[in-house]
Amino acid sequence: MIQPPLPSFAGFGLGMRTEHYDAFLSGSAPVDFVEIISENFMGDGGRPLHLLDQVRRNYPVAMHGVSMSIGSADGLKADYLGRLKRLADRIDPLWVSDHLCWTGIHGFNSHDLLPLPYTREALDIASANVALAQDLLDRPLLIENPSSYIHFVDDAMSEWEFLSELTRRTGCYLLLDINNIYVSATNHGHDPLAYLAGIPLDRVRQIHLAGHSAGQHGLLIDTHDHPVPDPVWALFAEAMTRLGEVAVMIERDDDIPPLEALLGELAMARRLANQSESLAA
Amino acid sequence: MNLRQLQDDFCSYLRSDGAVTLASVAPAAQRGLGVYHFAHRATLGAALGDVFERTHAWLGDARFDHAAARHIALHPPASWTLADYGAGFEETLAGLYPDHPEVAELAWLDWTLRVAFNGPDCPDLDFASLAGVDWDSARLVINPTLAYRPIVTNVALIWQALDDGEPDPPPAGRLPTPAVLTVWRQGLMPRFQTIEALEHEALAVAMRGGSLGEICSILAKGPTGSDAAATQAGAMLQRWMSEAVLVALA
Repeated sequence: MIQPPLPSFAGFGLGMRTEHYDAFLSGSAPVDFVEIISENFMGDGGRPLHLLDQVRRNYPVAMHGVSMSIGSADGLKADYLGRLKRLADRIDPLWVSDHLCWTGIHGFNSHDLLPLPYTREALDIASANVALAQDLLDRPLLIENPSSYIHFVDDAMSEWEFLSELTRRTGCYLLLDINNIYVSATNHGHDPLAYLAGIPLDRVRQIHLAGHSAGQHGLLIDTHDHPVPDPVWALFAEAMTRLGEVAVMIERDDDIPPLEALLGELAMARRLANQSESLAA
Repeated sequence: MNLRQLQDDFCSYLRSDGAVTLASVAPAAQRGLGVYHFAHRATLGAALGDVFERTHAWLGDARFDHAAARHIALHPPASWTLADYGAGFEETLAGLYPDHPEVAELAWLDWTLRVAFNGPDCPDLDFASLAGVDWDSARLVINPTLAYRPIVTNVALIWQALDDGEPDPPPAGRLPTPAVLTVWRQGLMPRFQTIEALEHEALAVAMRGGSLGEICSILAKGPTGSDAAATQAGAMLQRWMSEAVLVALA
């Protein structure tokens, strides 16, 4: 089923992390939206949902998941989708997003975002899963480009070609993680600008900005435990000259700094977005 | 290689010691496999550390990490949520520390408090609905987050001391008589309590949908005898109601 168009939302937001709950609960954090990790609020009840209801009264909320596993050869899990839909119906989010990845198969869940081979078969399976999820959730999905550390012998297309075809087939939208583009481009030796040029920019509804770390063997690792580095800011500025209205978020998951530090990064994102808008005009 | 086979192989690799290569991965990219191998274990270890914070404090880093590695090696995660991964860690610890029952008891308490934290909501007891209740036949509805476990050690004291950050928690010791530890959530706050055998028996009956009359019969077996059983049952019921152990009558 083709989903109705998803309106864009222009704003600058942060992830809802426990260290900053007070500011989100009081509504004092000067952000335009808040992103939650969906799975943290898909339990049966208790304090998490109670807090989320309060935050939702103060901010628009984007739901970002890590466990849908749209690339699994054995399909989606009904229990998971049921819980996700219940949460989405409860908080009326800006949108629901997850990753271009798989997390497990045959009942095993790695709880990691595992890489897909970019093959016709994987595209068929991911497309069918995204279409099914959208039908069950009764809303379009945003799919995020992953960071990756390997590629497969059978790869038949680039990641951006895979994502483009996925959006064309399913009507889904994109969550563009600028750091992931940079990390994967560095790890695999491709041009991040070619990535930007290759994706359907009109389908992008959200941007993630994050930091990374240097791992073993010269690989960059998407750790989300550092401030956004200069090369990622530069790629973001370039992307913003090409994009329309989008929601931009600083994604910090580890070594969480005081809220003021993240707001400083968000102010930087606003400045760059404004400059890019001026350049593009 | 089709996608199902590729994913099967990849999962086998994640569960292995990581010393193999995967034919599906480009030769130049094999070095990146280790990132996934490491991340899988690190994620599961962090999940255990998050839930079993007091158990970790009690065991120290080396013993806890060893136990976590054992658990991860033996228990592939299956749930949609990482929050479920701590299920069964108590048994892993019981196997590693058979002569230290407080370790498994601590793990049970850490785990069950977390389960209660995310457990189902239930409405507050409607005291107005109690008027006109036939107490002898009324069925007691117990808080859906309530769980209990027999204990033989002073685990409650140890847990509390660790939670308070006391530098010298009490040494583990055997209780003079076995008791039962209960965990439930009152409002949004998980809590725990040590109860005696007779109350445990009454609670078990209530959780099976027993009536107050049946509970009185149990209490009559106690040291106070049948004359005091009704009074004792009334006091217990009042406490259960005020602490949200009892949430409704049916």
